Amino acid sequence: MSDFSNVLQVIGAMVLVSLLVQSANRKMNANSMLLVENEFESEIAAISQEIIEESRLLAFDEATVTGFVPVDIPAGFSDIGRDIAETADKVTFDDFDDLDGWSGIVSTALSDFNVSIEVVYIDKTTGIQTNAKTTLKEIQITITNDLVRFQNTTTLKPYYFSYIRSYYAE
Amino acid sequence: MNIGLITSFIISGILILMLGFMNIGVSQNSTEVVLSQFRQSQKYDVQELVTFDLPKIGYDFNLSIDTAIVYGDDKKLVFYSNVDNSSDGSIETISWEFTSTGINETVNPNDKVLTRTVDSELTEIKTGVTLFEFAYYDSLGSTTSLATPLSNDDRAKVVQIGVTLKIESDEKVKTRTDKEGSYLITMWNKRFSPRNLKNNLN
Repeated sequence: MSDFSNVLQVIGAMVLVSLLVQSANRKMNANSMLLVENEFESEIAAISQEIIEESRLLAFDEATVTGFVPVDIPAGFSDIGRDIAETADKVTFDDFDDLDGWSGIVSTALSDFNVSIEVVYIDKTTGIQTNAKTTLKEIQITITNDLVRFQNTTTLKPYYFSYIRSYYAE
Repeated sequence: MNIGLITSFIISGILILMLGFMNIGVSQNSTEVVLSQFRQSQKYDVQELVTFDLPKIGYDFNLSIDTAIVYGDDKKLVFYSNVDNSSDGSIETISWEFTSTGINETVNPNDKVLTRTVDSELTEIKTGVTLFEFAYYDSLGSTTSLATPLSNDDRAKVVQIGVTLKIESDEKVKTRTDKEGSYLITMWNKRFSPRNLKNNLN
C-alpha cells in the first residue's frame, strides 16, 4: 500500500486541479457569453429606437392622417389596428396604431431579429392599458434573437421596449 | 524503478500541462474581454456622434430646411442643419465621409479614417472603423434602398437613412485553433428617421 500512497496523493491533486480548471472554463464561457450578449443588446436597442422613431413620423390616428381634427376627441379616433387598404407591409402604414400586430424579421449585418409590435390605448389617469379611446397610445415592442437565451436554458430571452405618444404633444 | 514513482511523474506531467493550458486560456480570454470592451467603447463614441448629427438633418430652430440633403452616396453624406441650435439661424453644412485613407497607427490594414466636417472644421475619427455605409429610403419601413449617388430627385424623397458601422480591433487575437488569428469585430446598424424629412413622405 505504501508503494501506491504517492500515486493516490497525485490522483487527489489531479481531481482538485480538474475542478479548478473546470471552474475557470465556466467563468471564461460566461465572459464570452456576456460579450456576445452585449453586442446583440446594442443592436436590439438600435432596432427598438428605429421603430419608435419611425412610428413618431406617422400620424397619431387614422382620423388625423390628412390633418383633419375629429370634432369629438378622443371618441372620434379610430380603433387600434390596420385600416382598409393597409397590408402587413409597413410601407402602407399611415398612422401610429397601424403597427399593432405587426411582426417580422429585421435583418441586420449582425443577425436576424424577431420583432413583434403591439399598440394600445392608455388610460390618462391610471397610466395602464384600456379598451376605451384616449389621447394616449403606447407602442410595445418585443425583440428576440435565436442566439440570445436565458442562461443555461433553451428559452429565448425577450427584450421589451415601450413608448407612450400623446395626441396633444404632436 | 518504482512503478508508483513513474505513475506519479506521468500524472504530475498531465497536471502541469492542464495548468499550462488553463493559463493560456485565461490569458486569451482576458485579452478578448479587454479588446472587446475597448472596441465597444470606440463604437459608442462613433455612435454618439452619428446619433447627434443625423436626426438633426434639415433642422433649424424655428423651421425646416427645404433641401436638407446636399449629397448622398454609400460612403458620404452631406447635409444642412442648424446643428449647434444657434439662435441667429445660421445653417451649418455637415459632411460624413468614410475615406479610403488607411490608419498608420494600427497594424490592421482594414481600418480607414472616418471624417466629420462641420463647415470647414474637420474631425478625423481613427478608431478602427473598417466599414461605414449609408443607405437611403424613400418610405418608412422600405426594404429597398435608393440608388446611390442620390439623384437630385431622390434627395428630395429621402425619409430614412440607414447607417452600418463596423469596428475591428487594432491587432489580431490568436487562439490554439486559429493560429493566424483574427480581428475582433463589433457592429452597429441603425436606420434614422429624421423628423425634418417627414415632409418628403408621399
